[in-house]
Amino acid sequence: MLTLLDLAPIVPILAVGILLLFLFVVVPGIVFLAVFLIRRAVKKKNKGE
Amino acid sequence: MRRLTLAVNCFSHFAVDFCCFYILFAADKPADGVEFLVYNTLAFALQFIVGAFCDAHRRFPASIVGVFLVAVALVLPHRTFSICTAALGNAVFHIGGGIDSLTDALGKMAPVGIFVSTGALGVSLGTLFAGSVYSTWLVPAVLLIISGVLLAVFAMPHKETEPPVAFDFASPLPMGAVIVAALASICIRSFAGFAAPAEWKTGAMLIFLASLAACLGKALGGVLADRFGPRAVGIPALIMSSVLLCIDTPVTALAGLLFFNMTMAINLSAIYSVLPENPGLSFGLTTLALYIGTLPMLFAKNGIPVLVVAALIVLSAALTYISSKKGAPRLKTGGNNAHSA
Repeated sequence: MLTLLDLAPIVPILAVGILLLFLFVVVPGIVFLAVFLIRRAVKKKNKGE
Repeated sequence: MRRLTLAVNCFSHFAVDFCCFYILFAADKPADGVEFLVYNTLAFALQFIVGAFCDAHRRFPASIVGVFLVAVALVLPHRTFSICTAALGNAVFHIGGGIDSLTDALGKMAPVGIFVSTGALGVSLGTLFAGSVYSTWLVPAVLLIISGVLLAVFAMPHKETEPPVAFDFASPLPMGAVIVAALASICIRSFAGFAAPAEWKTGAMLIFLASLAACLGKALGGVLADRFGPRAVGIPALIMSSVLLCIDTPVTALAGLLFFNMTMAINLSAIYSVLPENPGLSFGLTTLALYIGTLPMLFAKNGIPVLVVAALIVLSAALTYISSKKGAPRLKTGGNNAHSA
């Protein structure tokens, strides 16, 4: 399984930096968007009922 | 006709996953860690966006577009572009096939379980084929052409003349609680699946058998849950798998994998039961949960103790219990969900 330490040797600082950016910006952004879409779908359903 | 559409979607699911993993593992060097991360992000984490789009545009032929994108990826010369295109194609196809399997299911869980099952075989056979001496791009190309033709003939999105039969697999809890519990269950199971001991998985035959067990588990889970109810199937299956997966021998682990995969369709059906207007979003959310579950493994250098893995699977079972319905579902046939099939 891929680990953070496996990634490091590729381009040490850049790779870890990109990974951290990915984990703390991209992933939360995706989750935020998912929550937004769920809430919108739930609201629509409640309105329909 | 519904069975034929499901069969075509199942074959195409196998073909798409076969081709994607052929692309990842073929060529002179297999995909590295970063390429895998990018592939997984595009293929799994973003499916819910495609799903939301397809929910709003029901006549968008997602399955065919997905197959087309994977076919483009197969001929793209630049490796990174090829992997990204394949991942996007994979995401779009899954949503198309998932929507078909949910909306044409007549309120039953079995079709979506059967649809998701064939992907496991595609992944393992695509990986093994890419590394074999017989590896040639002709095989994935032919598979994709056959899929494209079959989808165009049998699985084009049709104008809805009747609303789909409502799914009735969610617990009576509030919608938000059902969605959160089901997604958390998938997320924890995804992490536990990666963290479970896998030293037994040596050699091509065992890799293939593992995917076969996963395939059978996913398909059986849906079929049995329709008959006996999601809780009666999902909870015992997960608890048995928590023991079997932690015994690191091929026979027990294969049986554990079979039981472990039975709950995929159960969690998805619970979400779709509370979001009946959003089959694409429901399907995409489950793959996002799967993806998030794999992320902690980026930091797990020394493996996870088997007892922790077993405890996590039991926790996943508890969440499945919370999110799913007691007893076998009753088909709702009144009001907006009337169906005259």
